[in-house]
Amino acid sequence: MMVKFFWYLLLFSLLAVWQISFAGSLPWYLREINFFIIFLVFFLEFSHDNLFWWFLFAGFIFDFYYAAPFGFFMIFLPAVFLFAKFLSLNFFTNRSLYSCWGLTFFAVIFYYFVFYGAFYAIKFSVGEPLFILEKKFWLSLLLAIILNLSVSSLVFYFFGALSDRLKPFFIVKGNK
Amino acid sequence: MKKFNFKLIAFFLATVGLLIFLHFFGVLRPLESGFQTIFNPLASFFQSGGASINLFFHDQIARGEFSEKIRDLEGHLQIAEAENASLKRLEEENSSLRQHLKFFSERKDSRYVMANVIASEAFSGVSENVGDILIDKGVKDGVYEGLVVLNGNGVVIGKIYQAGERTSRVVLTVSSRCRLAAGLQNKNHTVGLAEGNLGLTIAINFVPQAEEVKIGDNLVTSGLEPDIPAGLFIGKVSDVYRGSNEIWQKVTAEPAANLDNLIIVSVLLPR
Repeated sequence: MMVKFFWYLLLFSLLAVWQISFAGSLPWYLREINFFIIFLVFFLEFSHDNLFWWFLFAGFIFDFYYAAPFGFFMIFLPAVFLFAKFLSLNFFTNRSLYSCWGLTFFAVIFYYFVFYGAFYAIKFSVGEPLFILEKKFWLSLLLAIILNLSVSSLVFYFFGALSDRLKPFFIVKGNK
Repeated sequence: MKKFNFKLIAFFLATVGLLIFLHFFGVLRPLESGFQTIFNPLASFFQSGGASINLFFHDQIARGEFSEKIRDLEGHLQIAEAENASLKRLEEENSSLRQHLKFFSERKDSRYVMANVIASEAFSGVSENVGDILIDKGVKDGVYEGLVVLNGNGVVIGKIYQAGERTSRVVLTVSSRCRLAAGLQNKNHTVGLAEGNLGLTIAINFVPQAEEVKIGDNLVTSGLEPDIPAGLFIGKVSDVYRGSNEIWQKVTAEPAANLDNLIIVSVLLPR
């Protein structure tokens, strides 16, 4: 139990620092890679551990590094986790490449809409233009979807080679 | 479908509320400070790794415009670059450190603190913070809001916008939140307010129509701000527009420092 606790503590600390420092310093067209979403998708495929509180911890780290209103990431990251878990439990249950793509696709869309929406709400009084009317938002979203789907496909085949728990594509009829 | 767990959500919101409360009253400061002490060196390492990749890809794009012969040579160069990637990073750090030391040894009256860039803020296209950098020095190192930040050649790259205990946020000169009392090195030593413009250039505001400003004039700090000495180089005038009905001229400058791939910076402390 304690070993698991320290393992998660280290994993989430490293993942948060990696996302903040490494992903942020990549060339602009690679910055939309979201290691948290990719980690989350594969974690949901492999494990049933409840990471809700660990996402809160990661949000706490994000909050004291980033300048968003303190508490924003502590709510936002667990919300992403809950959304992805909901999809994983109810719609994408078969550990196939398509379920991995589906989870990544919807998690990225949820992440972007909630993130941009929340910042729009925070800055509503400043008269910031509605984010969905901005070309930049749609381009970033498109880039994020393409990048994260590509990275998750690579990771899927990497894990597929290591483990037989992932199915290459959709479940074949009659295959149990 | 799973039932919505109201108890969990209520407990979660109470926890977040408590953490926010404890954060604003400084109770969590030792925890945050301890975390940063442990993870800042790692963040700095990750950041310079990402910056090396950035530099590598940037070089790739620029070279794409060269002739075929150069492309052939580039192939060889890429192999050499890949082999020397880690060495190059160390060299860059070393050279940056030497530049900083040289600049400050020429200005013996200056006090400064050197800092590693640990992250560039790029997590959202909406946030106005995009483009800010985080450095691994904070209040504990004598850094506070409003101090000027320089690169290895002593060129102004921005200002401290927020100082935490062990980290600080720097707004770059091209950010609209970076305002510097600045002057031009022209005939009349015109003064104005340098303000970042769309994350690309620097607008020099409040320059009267009568002032003679030329493209290529140097933009430096005016010394009219507390804790920022006069004469620190910011950039060069790139465009001047005199509207017939305007009170002020529209003067635009290009930053002199390369604001991408910053690895080590110096924060100039008051004397």
